[in-house]
Amino acid sequence: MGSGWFPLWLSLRVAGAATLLVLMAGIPLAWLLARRNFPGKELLGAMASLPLVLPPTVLGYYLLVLLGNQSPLGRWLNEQGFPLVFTWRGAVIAAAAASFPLLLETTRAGFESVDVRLENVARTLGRSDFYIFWRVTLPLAWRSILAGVALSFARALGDFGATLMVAGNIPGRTQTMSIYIYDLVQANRQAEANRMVLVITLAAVALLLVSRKFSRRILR
Amino acid sequence: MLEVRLCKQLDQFRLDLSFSAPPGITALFGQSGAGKSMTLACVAGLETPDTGRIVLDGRLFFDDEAGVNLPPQRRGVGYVMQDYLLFPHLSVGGNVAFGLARARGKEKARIVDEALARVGLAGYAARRPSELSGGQQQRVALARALVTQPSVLLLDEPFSALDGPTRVLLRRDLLRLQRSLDLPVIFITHDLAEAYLLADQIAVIEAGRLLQIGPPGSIVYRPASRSVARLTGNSNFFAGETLRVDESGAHIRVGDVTLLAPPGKLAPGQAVELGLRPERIMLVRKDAPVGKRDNLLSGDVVNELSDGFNCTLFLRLDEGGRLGRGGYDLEITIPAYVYERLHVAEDKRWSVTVRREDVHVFGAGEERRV
Repeated sequence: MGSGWFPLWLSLRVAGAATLLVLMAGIPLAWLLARRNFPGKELLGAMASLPLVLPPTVLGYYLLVLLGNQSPLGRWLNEQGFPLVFTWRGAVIAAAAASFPLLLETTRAGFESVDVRLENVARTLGRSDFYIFWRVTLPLAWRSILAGVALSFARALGDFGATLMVAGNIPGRTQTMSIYIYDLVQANRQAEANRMVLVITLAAVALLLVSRKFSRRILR
Repeated sequence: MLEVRLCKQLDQFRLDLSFSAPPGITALFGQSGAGKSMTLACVAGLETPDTGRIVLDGRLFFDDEAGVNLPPQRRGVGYVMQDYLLFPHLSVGGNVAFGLARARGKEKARIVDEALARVGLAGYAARRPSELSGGQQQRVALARALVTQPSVLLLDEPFSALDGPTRVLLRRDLLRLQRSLDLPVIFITHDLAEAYLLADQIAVIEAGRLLQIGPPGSIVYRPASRSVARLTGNSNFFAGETLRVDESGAHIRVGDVTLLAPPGKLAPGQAVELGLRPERIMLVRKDAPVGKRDNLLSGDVVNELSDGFNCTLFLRLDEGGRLGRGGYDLEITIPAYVYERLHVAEDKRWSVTVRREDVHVFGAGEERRV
């Protein structure tokens, strides 16, 4: 693989890892928001959706402050030999933060669309809440979750601002696809830019189609 | 025996009632929004009462004072709802097997097959719920509840969503099932005929309160209050005053008329309210011999309705002999064949009689609480 393809490979890797991260955090949080009542619930939901409306650079700036060397968390991560800022892992965090609301909202809607009374009947049948989650709630909400995965993967794949702030633009290390395209255009390398733009556009369209296919309710 | 006592503040009213349900069928009867479903959900453990105590055969489900609130998983109740609520992503067999935590493999399949056979759906295990009719889905829901061997069966309007013939079939099946199970079955209905048909006892509930509980006959023919009488289809109510009580009964003045009622514990001068069930007012045949009849009144049929089986006549009594001041005095229900035999269509002038025992007397004003 030529060096020209590194950004695509990195972007896929970053988006994949970010989506995994978002899934692991998003499913429990979406379930909490859909099924439980607790003080500060709406505030938490609003906070989690904030990346959707914040300028990506602002989001990136917050992450930089939170994870950089000036913060206790950043220093601790550094001491563990796991620095985030200006590494590809930082790009994962940035992409995850940017795409988190998309998965959270679709998954929450998915859980909310599952009739609570089905879960209640399952409880009277003696099954644990954990079992019910895996055997009733999740199977009935999985289309929404898949739609959310496709959307948030696409969002992670395309992130520019937040990634640039947190991970920088280090060719061969943190230079993702969208940042690379920017560089190509700046450097007037039109042909290469066109190729990359085409690839990422096709990927985005495909992901959108996948998302739409799954978000259409087939089960009654 | 299930014993329930609970209080729970709801949006519109306070749910505050207690009753016991022995093995057999108990109907919670009342209008929508009376608190029946909430009561059932509290028994199942899906809702928590503010205060109270729920005990099933000595097993404590809930007691706020003792700090006991068993989760639904450990109550062992079978819960079936109006719209079946089968798991749409599981097969019929998967639905029935859902509560079978211990059984495995062949044993599990055997239990599922037996349960399905019991509700008349042998061989349906591989089907999807969406392929079944409403009645079949409700049978699956029943089988699913029964395989867990519940110690009480809670049915929340189990027949409401079904069409007429299916409903009749399922009611019959429930009666047969109940006889073989011998456990308390509590079912919710707002259909008096259904409650009367199925239940060993009816609990009449209105706005969160238990108005009366007892065998179906006592609910319909000895209502404890005007509310119960109204909820059970009584539509003729009159305010009156007790004139005197003698060996023939209580003589009660209503409008221009004196009606004879059972003596009860009435005292002269006492204000009362009377209720007359429309199907207990009889037309007097014109060729019948003149004899002594209780509460003989006469007037004209001013309006009538028919549902094909029964006719409702609205009778306006003669001036000087009226019970009230409305457009009509009495609502009378007679079977359609009686309507035809007596040629009521052509003849609007009638005498009616109400037996003394069929005049229900309630204390005026205050509702009697149970």
